[in-house]
Amino acid sequence: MRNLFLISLSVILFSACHFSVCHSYKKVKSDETKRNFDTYFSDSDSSYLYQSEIRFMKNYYSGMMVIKHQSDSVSRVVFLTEMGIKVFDFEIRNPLNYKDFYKVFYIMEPLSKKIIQKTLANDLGLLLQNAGEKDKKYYISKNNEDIVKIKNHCKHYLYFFEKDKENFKVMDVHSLCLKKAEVFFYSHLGLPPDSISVHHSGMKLDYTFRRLKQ
Amino acid sequence: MGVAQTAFTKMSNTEEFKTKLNEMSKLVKTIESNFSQEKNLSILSKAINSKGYFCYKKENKVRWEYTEPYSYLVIIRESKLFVKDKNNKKQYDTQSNKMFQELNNFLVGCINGDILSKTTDYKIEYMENNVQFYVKLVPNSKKMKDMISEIHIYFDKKDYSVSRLKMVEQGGDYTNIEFLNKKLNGVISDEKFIFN
Repeated sequence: MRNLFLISLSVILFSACHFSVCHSYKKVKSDETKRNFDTYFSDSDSSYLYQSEIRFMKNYYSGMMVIKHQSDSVSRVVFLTEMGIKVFDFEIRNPLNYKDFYKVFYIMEPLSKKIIQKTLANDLGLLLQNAGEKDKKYYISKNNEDIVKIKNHCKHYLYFFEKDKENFKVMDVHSLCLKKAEVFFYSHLGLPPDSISVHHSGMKLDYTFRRLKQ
Repeated sequence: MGVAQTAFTKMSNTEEFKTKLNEMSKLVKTIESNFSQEKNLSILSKAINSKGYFCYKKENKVRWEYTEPYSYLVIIRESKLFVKDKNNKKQYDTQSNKMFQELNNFLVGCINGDILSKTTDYKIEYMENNVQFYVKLVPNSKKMKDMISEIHIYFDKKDYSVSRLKMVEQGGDYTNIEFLNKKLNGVISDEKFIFN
């Protein structure tokens, strides 16, 4: 009886979540336009360098972030201070396909707590995920943006596309009915993005990345 | 035209070097220099290059100013850390940014030679050639070794000033900083260390 109650509650919660995540958007049958759900950083011949700021509670870390795509959907993400000291070095696989999607090669002591490592990996994983193989649902917003929703375990990801554009501009992450994070990709000069920002809801953690030409 | 450098060999008189370095360190009140920095990561085929201006004034005033690849300024004064870049201008107390202050103290210790007095913290090897003294430090503590496994400091034989600093990490990635156009004991205005 207790199990039945819990199952019913879960079903109600998940249905409610589904409603709340996309309730202000109009569902459409399918999307005829070509869309790219791959990470912006999938070219293994290139490396990407960003001036970076991480604000976490009262802490502030600034420096440079290097993203290097390697073989087999694996990327390395290295964060350095301006003086060249390494703050962290992660290997990240597509988080939508792998449960253990990251490996830590190095992380400086104040950040080395497991929960911080996991938070950093989850956030950086948003920049490196490829939703190409996931089932998709299509919506349209009042502002005429195309929205594509994918689900992965208990999280929903909403990809926002400008009309007829191939690459997404915004990604929202929802979990248990609540918006957890927003990622904005700004591209004035084409790919890869000139700047990226990641904002968390209900948590003082924000990232800003500005691309540096090498 | 620069003098061709010979190969480094074991330093003939380490005690004399340490004494002279200590004397010079006491005499040096200010250091001013341009620098060029090269970060080599095994995952990249090309180094990340940075350039800038550095100045130090006794006791604890430091200005690191990067001009490339972007403008970034760090001033340390009286246990306050001031950071300014294109979009931000902020002052932090050392409690909230202890890590960066420790790193800055470490770098300044390398530049003014104070780090060589920390004989219990490092295993130190002394070498020289015709134009430079070269000191290799291997940290004893695991915490430090995890961050930097070797520190190589090159001192100019003319004035015992640091001309190159190389920090090698576990796995071989390294940062190389060359100090150019050095000026010792020049007049450096306190305004250089004011937060504005």
